[in-house]
Amino acid sequence: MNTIVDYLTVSKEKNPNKIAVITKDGKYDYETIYNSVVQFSSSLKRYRQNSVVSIFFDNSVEFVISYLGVIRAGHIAHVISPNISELNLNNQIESAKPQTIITSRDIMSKTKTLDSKNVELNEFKEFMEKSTQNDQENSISSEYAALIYTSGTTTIPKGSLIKHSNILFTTENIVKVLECVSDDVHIVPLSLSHSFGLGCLHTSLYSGSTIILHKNTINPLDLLKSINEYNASTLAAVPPTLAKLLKNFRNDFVENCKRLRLIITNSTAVNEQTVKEILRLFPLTKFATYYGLTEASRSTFMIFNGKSGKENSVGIPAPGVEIKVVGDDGKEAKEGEICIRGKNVIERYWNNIRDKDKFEEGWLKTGDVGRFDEEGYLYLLGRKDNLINVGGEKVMPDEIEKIVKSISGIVDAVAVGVDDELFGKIVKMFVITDDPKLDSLTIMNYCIKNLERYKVPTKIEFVKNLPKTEYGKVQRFLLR
Amino acid sequence: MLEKTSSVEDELKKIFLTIFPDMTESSFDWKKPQEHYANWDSFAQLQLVTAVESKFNIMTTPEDALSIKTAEDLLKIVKSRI
Repeated sequence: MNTIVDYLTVSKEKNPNKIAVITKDGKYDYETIYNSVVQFSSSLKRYRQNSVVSIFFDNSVEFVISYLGVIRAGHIAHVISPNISELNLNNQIESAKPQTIITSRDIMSKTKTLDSKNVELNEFKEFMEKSTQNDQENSISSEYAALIYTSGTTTIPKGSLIKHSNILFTTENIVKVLECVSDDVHIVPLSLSHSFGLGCLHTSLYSGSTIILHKNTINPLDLLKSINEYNASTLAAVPPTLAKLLKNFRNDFVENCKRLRLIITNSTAVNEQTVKEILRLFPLTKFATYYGLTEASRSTFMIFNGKSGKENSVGIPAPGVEIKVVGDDGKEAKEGEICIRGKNVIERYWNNIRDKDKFEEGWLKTGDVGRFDEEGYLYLLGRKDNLINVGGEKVMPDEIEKIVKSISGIVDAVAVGVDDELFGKIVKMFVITDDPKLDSLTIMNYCIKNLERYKVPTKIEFVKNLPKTEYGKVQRFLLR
Repeated sequence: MLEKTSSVEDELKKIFLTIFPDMTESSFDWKKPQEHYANWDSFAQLQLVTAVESKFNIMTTPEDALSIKTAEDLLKIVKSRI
């Protein structure tokens, strides 16, 4: 078993008629998926081994077939988010230099600015029609399976080059820790172009279960309905989706999800109140999160059940994964940068961009700041490059944001450091409010009562929007 | 004019009560010197200056900031700018 496609092959042989993928367009059994993957991959064999092939889809069966087809053909799947900006798409194509981009008719229009890049564009259905060979012979695998560009919260996106061994190691851990089985039916309203969603697809293929793909969560009732209709056993959702379900669809959420064996969340920090509410409303369901990066997927796991008081933790290191926290002097410290080592960690970036900054003796320097408690549970404190040095005092914006967001009427808040003659940097807060009476003095007063003096935002600006990446992460560098 | 002056004083008093939450309205004194405040440090000084700049839409200079030793000093600066 060398690649995730090998697991698809095994599932097809064991249970050819079992449903592998469900989308709004249909249900597809393992045999159908396998045959389509074989057909798709045969047309890719005209490219030299290890070529990059970009796949650009919404959540769909076309994504699944293309992704697995590229891997089966011995190429590297460059996974592009359907929500990518024009600029970012151009940057990624310029960097990845794919042999071709495979996309759907719906998304094709987004590629119109790529004409000058001299890249071959293929529409999925036409590409499949051209692929008439039924080539049962596997190609020699590339060492690498996927190229995923990270979200660019701080810098220009960089491509994470993910090996088959990274995927298999991480998937084995997910299956083991979250006790995934072939009877599972997974509901996934997450983009497959993101590590969280793609990991769910790997898990489902690995364990021979069924995955139900939703394109988005615009209509939460559709999502809840599908949980009931297909008797789903797991739900993977980002914290804002869970918060929305709790706030606006509480009864439907409870009624449809009370039989789930697992709810898993990730992507942004999960709110302590959300954790407590889910544990209270779903006493029979495991509620879990994990800490991971595209470069080091699923590095920890946290199962909240029975762990009262640890609602803010991201858990303990995954089996076979080492994590240490390092201070400014490079030595292990109580609080500092999180470094990860293990078979889930990528070896290098595409074109070796930033390898020197990010890797040291097998350790990935994540740029996240954290601490372990006495029982070995990891807590995230913020991003190292977001740290604000106020006259020598180090301030994590996350702490200030948490306080400000707890003020009634605050919808969102972001703290950044801005230049100051006296202190070097001072804290500036950008806030979105739905209370027209809320003024900066009220915010300042609340902060003075709840934070050390140097952490109190000196400047407060009310804004209507905050710059965010396509995955919802704030782009702080645009606010500084 | 009287109404405007009164409003500036009220607003400035509100800023002081915000930045020094341990102080009560009755204990507020325009002439109370900086050293008699428990928390009037350089951060509080910065917060006072930026709060009045934002509230009254005025600009102050670093010299202004250094010259503020009482609430009355800050009131004079604000009145001279608006």
